[in-house]
Amino acid sequence: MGPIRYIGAFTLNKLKRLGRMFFFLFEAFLYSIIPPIKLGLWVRQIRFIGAESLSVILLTGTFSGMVLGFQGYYSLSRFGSEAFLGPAVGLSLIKEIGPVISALMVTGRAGSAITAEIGIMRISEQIDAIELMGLNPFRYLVVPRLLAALVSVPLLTSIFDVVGILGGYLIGVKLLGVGSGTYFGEMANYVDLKDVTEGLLKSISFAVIIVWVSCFKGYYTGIYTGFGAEGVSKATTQAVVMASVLILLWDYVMTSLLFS
Amino acid sequence: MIKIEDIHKSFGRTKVLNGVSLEVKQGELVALVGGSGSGKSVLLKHIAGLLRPDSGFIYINGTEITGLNKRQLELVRKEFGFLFQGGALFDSLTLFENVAFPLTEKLRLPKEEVTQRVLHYLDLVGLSGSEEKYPSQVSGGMIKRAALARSLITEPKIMLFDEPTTGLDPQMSLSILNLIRSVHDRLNLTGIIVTHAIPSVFKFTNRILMIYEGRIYFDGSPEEFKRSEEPIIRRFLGEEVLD
Ligand SMILES: Nc1ncnc2c1ncn2[C@@H]1O[C@H](COP(=O)(O)OP(=O)(O)O)[C@@H](O)[C@H]1O
Ligand SMILES: [Mg+2]
Repeated sequence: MGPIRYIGAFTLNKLKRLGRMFFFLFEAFLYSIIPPIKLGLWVRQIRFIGAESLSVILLTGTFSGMVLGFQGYYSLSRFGSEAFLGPAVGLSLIKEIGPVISALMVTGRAGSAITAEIGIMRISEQIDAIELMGLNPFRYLVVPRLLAALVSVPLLTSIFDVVGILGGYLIGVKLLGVGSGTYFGEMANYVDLKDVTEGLLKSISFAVIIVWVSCFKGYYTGIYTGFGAEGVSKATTQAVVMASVLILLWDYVMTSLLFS
Repeated sequence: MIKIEDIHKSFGRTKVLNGVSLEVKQGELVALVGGSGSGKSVLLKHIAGLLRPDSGFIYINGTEITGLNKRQLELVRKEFGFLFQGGALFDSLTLFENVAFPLTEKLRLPKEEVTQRVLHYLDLVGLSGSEEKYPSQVSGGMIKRAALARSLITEPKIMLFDEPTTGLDPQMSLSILNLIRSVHDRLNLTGIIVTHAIPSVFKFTNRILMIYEGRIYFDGSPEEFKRSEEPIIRRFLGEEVLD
């Protein structure tokens, strides 16, 4: 009986946790569409998740584009098709690199802070205090962050794409000698609206993943990780790892779905 | 009225409440004492519906609350004021905003009325002049007092105070106990105060409850408590005197 019972309990436990996690997401969406929305908190979170991530995105976007410029030129010149550097850089950035790296950067910068902040509110009983006033903690903690990320992450991603394309231009055109007209002309020929939409859909879903995971881990700090400062730091680590893994997995799922 | 019937609660393998029963009548102010870790905070959180017992029943003004869902609980909680042991002030808000929070968010009172009431309550707890400070900028005792103001400002019918005087100097704890007493008398509220302020609390309540090994071990007047020959109570009082 021993091991079977153990496996049973383990499985049930995991399922319960998974169920709780999906219910959390459901509630987050539910209260995002039922007013009142706390506009002040929303704006504050756009500033935190969006505006304050800008420098990181500018930096990583430029360098990613520059690397793509080198690598793309190197691969394409083997087939004598350096002329297609523009579309190669543009498509990789818009469809793949832009959404994924932006989301990972936001996870590291804002996701971890979200978990820590909500986790501290949990262990210092601030969340219980909101509940005891007869108010809904989701409206104060989760909804403003979800709505802010849905605005900020796609915008950050587009900025990443733009500076990335300019980084590729810097390397391909200024350093390696591809024609400026060729770089942008071919890019305009080969990048469709469909590609842009694909990147946008990805970044929207990544925004949901980031907020979902980091808020959930913060909200349930203590229940899964133990109380105290150690509980918060564990929850934060778990949130960053889990959100990053989910982003990459979901990226695969979306790519394969959109491919067919 | 608060009535508790035989509640049990374990966290993992630790049994914290092991058959607690008690009744506090409308308008009564009782003190709950007990060693640290004896389950006083856990008991208060059960009464407020923040924790659910493993078994047993809790009645608030006749309504059994352990089976209620969130929405039904909200109705019962309207009656509650709760002071958390650590204060539980919102870090991102000033003391003023913290105390105003239940008025602006829940009761949606007009701005002038909020300001007037908040300033009045901050004055009552001796915090005039610190309105614009953040919790991280003030002492633990000030956080406690601001939290007390926040929990009293809605003029609740049932008040649960988790250690309102811990961390305050003797004079301040006396004035806080006085404040609780006067608010109690004015609103005729039902209240439970968890406190270590022995013996000063003896003057402020006429009923002491002591929790020990997960049960209500003593229930009686301060005089009976002081005179008790029970070794466990003697030891508890001795500890407190040494403090
Ligand atoms: N949410 C919780 N999870 C696990 N254990 C808890 C929880 N809350 C309290 N406990 C444990 O219950 C016991 C009683 O705690 P508490 O009611 O805070 O004591 P006190 O009488 O000092 O207020 C302690 O051993 C504490 O560790
Ligand atoms: Mg306690």
